[in-house]
Amino acid sequence: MTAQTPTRFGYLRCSSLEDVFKAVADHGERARIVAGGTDLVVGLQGRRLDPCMLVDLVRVPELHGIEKADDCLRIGAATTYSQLLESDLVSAHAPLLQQAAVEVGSVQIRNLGTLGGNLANASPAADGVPPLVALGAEVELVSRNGTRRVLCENFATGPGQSVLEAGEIVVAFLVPVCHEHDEGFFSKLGPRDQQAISIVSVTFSGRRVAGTRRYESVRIACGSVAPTVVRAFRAEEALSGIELEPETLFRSSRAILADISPIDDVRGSAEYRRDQAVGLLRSGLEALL
Amino acid sequence: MILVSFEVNGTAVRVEVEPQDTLLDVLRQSLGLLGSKEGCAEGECGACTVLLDGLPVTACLVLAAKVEGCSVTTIEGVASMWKGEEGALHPVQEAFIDVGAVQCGYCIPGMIVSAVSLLERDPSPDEKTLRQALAGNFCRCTGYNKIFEAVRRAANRMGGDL
Ligand SMILES: Cc1cc2nc3c(=O)[nH]c(=O)nc-3n(C[C@H](O)[C@H](O)[C@H](O)COP(=O)(O)OP(=O)(O)OC[C@H]3O[C@@H](n4cnc5c(N)ncnc54)[C@H](O)[C@@H]3O)c2cc1C
Repeated sequence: MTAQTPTRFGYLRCSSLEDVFKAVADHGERARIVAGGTDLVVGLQGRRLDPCMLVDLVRVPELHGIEKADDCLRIGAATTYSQLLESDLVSAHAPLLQQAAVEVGSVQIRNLGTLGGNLANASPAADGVPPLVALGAEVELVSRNGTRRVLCENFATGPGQSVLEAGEIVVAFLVPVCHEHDEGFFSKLGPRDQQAISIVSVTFSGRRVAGTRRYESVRIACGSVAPTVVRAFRAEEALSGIELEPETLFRSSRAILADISPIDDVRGSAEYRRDQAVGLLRSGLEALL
Repeated sequence: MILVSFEVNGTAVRVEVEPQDTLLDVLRQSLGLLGSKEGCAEGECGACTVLLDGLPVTACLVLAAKVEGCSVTTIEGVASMWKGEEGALHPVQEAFIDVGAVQCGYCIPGMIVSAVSLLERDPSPDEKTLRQALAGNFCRCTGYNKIFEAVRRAANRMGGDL
């Protein structure tokens, strides 16, 4: 670790988890973790943040790599979207993550931004998070006091707020590998195709009962329609176990309205978001069926 | 101040940076490489696109302190990536001139770096791949058609069939 002694800002390049824990312990609330920097540096430029000690963890080995262990893929938190897109393990076992990754920012952003940063940033509009939620993934949080696992859906508690405690680092994701009949989609509505923040996103994962139009184990996650990425429990229930004929699909998709609480903002009105959430869910399912 | 050693366009450099300095600040202010432009300064427009260890990134979002030990290629180094004659331009640069893809020119360095990187990975990209590769580079003059045409022409000249 190369240490500096700045007045307002400092920068520490960490090469082990212990380095990170020490930096955070030494600098307390003034420490600010940096991974790809695509959220953080924008904040620095706009001077909305006033961090004092930047703690860069991109070279910590535990945060890298994608491996298959038993029924899970273990994906390091510093994995970039481009690395997710290139991974054969991800395309074989968690293709939903790639469907979302390709819609994040632009090539330039996908080469820098990390999945761990996307979760830790706790934006309701995060595109990397809904597939993690829909796949039932857990995140491994590590501090000097030990390791705990939290379901990704329970990580964020509000815009920019999460269960992450002081001194805790997002180290890896544990994503259950998909079954041969699992199907899913990530569908994002933005003002343009690439380089656009989601106005609404809907992610679906379900196990198709072979030879039918029925799904079981349905999990649906929505972005930009609540203070955090949320699961759509009502819609899951309404769409599980029934034959999804045009009529039932039309009716059941509307159940998502009970799961979401969108607001009006510069990107869209609450009403528009409600309509689009229903539409994305229905058209995504129509395309699968 | 932090001392950072890295490679720019094949040459080793060592610069002192402030923790909050970006790679773009260092390229333009400390190294005098003015080709990479600052547009939005928040990663949206792509005018500052450079290759970091071979991958296109927006230099305005990369903290300079991060690039220790890395290799950076800017628009100034693009020509020498191609095995052409001494002093010759890269085929992508040639094609931008031939097609007339440049109007005000501000976005062009980033556009060319992205296009060069695309053709290195995929010498004959289809239309969708081409558009996706350049989606992070905004041009407010040309409407993009000439730019896409230039990249197609370069792909042709470089041996791909687009
Ligand atoms: C032009 C542009 C376009 C974008 N487009 C999209 C988009 O389409 N969809 C989308 O979802 N996002 C988008 N983003 C936002 C951003 O790129 C993503 O959220 C990205 O995944 C953030 O990752 P990072 O590694 O860059 O995070 P950083 O900026 O490094 O960090 C983000 C936050 O997380 C914390 N953090 C990072 N890693 C860890 C860790 N391992 N443990 C604990 N805390 C950590 C940091 O302290 C910081 O608070 C865009 C950003 C830009 C600039």
